Amino acid sequence: MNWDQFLSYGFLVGLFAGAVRLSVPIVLAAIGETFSERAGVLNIGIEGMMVTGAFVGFVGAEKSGENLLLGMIAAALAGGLMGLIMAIFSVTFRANQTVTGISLLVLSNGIAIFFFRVFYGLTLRVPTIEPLKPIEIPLLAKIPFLGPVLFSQNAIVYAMLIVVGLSSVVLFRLPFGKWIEATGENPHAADSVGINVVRVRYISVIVGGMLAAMGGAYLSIGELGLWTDLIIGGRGFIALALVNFGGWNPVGALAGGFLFGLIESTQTRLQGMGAPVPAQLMIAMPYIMTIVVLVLASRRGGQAPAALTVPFVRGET
Amino acid sequence: MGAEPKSFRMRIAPLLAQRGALAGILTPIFAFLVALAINGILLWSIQINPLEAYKAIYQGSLGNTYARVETLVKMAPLLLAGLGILVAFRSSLFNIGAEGQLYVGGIFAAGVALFMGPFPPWIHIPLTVLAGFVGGALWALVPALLRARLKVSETIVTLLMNYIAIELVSYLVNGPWKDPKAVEPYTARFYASATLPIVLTNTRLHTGILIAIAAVVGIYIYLNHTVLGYQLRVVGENPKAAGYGGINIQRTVILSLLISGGLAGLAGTGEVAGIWHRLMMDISPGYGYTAIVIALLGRLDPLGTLVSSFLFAVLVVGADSMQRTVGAPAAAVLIVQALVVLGVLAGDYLMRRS
Repeated sequence: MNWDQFLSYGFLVGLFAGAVRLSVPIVLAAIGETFSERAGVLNIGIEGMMVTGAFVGFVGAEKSGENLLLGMIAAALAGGLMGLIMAIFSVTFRANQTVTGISLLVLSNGIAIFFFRVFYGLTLRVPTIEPLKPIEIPLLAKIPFLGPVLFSQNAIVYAMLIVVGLSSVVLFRLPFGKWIEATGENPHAADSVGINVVRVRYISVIVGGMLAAMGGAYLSIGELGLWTDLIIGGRGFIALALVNFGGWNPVGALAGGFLFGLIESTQTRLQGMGAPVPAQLMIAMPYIMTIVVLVLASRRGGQAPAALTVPFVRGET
Repeated sequence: MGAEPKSFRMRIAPLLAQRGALAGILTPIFAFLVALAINGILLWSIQINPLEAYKAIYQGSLGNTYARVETLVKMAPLLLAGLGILVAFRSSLFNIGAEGQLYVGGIFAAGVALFMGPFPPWIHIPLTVLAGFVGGALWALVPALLRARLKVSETIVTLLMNYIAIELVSYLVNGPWKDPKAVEPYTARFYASATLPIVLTNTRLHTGILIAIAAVVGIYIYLNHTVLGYQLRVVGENPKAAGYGGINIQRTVILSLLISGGLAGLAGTGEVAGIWHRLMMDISPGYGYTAIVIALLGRLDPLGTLVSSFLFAVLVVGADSMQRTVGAPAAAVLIVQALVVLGVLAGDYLMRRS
C-alpha cells in the first residue's frame, strides 16, 4: 500500500466527505437520546428504534415508487410509536429502563426481520432503491476542500445540521428545554412548580425515538439504498455513549458523531486500499473507540441528569 | 450517596418474584400466553393459521426423539448464559454481553482443545471447560473493572464488547487459527480427548446439558446459602445497606460479573467442544440475547431460569420447523421474546396497582 495516497487532495476530500455522511445516523440518534436522557429516561432501545427506522423507511420508500421523503416520514412515525411504547413502560409503568430498552431492541429486530420476509420473501436478489443524490449548494460548493466536504452532500446531511441547531435552541433557549431539564434534574421540584413531568418525559422520549428512527432511515434510504438485518450494527449503542461524551448537548453529539464518521470512513478506505491491518480489527475499531470514549468521559466527571433512570411518583422520593 | 453509580439506583427488586406471592409466578405464565396470542394474531394477519404454526413448533421441538434431543442441545447454552445473566442482574449489573462472553469462552476452549494435548480425556475435558469459563470471565473483567473503578456503565460496555468478540472469532478462524486444509473459515478439528462426551448415543446430545443443570444447583446454593451470594444480593437490592453493612461493593461487582461471564463462556464451550468440535463463526444465533429474556422470565431465579430456558429452547428449535412447514418467518420467536418481557413488566405494574 502506498502511503502517499493518504496525503492526496482527492483522498482527503473523499475521507472527510464520507465522515460527514457517516456521522448522520449517529448524530441524529445521539440527539434523540439527549432529549430522552435530559428528561430522565435512559433509552437503551435506541438501537432498536434505528432498526425500525431503517426498515420502515426502506419499505415506505420502496413501496411508494421510491418516494424517499415518504419513507423518511414513515420512519419517523414508526420511531415515534416505539418511543411511545418506551414511555408507557418507563414513565407510566415505571418499569426498569434497561430491561424495557432491551426488549424494544429485540422487538424491533423481530418485527423488521419478520416483515421483511413477508414483504420480499426469500429472494436472492436483494431489493434496492436509488439512494439520495447530493445537492450542490451554489457558490459554497466551490470553496476548496470545504465545498466538496460540506456543501455537496445530500438533503439529510443538511437536515442534520438544522436538527443540531434547532435542538440546541429547544433545549437551551425555549421554556420547553427548561422543563425538560427540570424534569431530568429534579422531577419533584418540577412537579411542584406546575410542570407536567409525565407529559414532558413522554414528549422527550417520543422525539428521541423519531430522531433515532430518522438516523436509521438515513442508512437504508439515504446512504445504502437497501435494508439488511445488520444495517445498524451497534450504531445506536455508539450514539448512547456519545451522549455521555458530548455532555448531553447536541453540539457535543455532532462532534462525537463526526469523530465516529471519520473512524468509519477511514476504515472503509483503508480496507479498500489493502492496508496491512486485519479487516476485523478495523471493523471492531468503532466499538473499541466507543469504550475509550466512555472511559474518557468518566474521568472528566459526570454531569448526567440527576434523575436519569429514576421513575417519578408524586410524593415519593 | 451522590457519587453512587446510576444503575445501582435502578432497583432490581421489582424484577424478582415476591416471595410467597403467587402473582410472581403467575405473571410470567400469563405474559407468555399473551405473547403467544399476540404473535398468533400477527401470524393470522399474514394468512398463516396460528394453531398450525404452534403445532409445527410443538412437532419440531417435542414431537419425536430427534426433536426432543435437539431441544435439549439448544437448552444447554440458553440455560448457562441465562444463569450468567441472572447472577449479574441479581447484583443490579446489567450484563448484556453474554453473547460476546460466549464467543470468547469458545475461543479459550478452542485454544486448549486445539493446541494443548493430547492428554487423557479426564484431564483434557476439564481443562477445556475451565478455559471456556476463564475466557468468558476475562471478557467480562473489562466491563467489571471499568464499572467498579471508573463507574462506566457496564450495560453499554458489555454490549459493545459483543461486536468486538465476534470480530475476534472472525479474525482467528480466517487468519492464524484457520484450518489450512479447509476452504471454510474454521479451525482444524479439536483433539478427540478434548471433546465433550455424548450423553445419548447416535445423537448430538453432549454433556453440556449436564454441566448446565449442575450450574443451576451451584448458583442456587451460591445465591441462597453462601456469604458471598448473600452479599451479591444485598448489593443488588439495597446498595446503601450494603455500604453501611461493610460489604466490599467493588469486589462484589467484579466477582458477580466474572461468574456471569464465566457461565456464558461455558455456553460457548459447549457449542465448540460439544457440537462442532471446531471453533467457527456463528456458533451462536443470539443465545446471549435470548438468555436475557430467559433470566427475566425465570424471575432471576435459578429454578425459574431452568424452566424458562426449556420453554425458549422449544421455541427456538420449533421456530425452524415452523418456518419450514407453514412458512411463518422464524423471526416470530424474537417478537414473542420481546412481548414476554414487556408482558411481565406490564403485569408487574398491574399487580402493584391492585
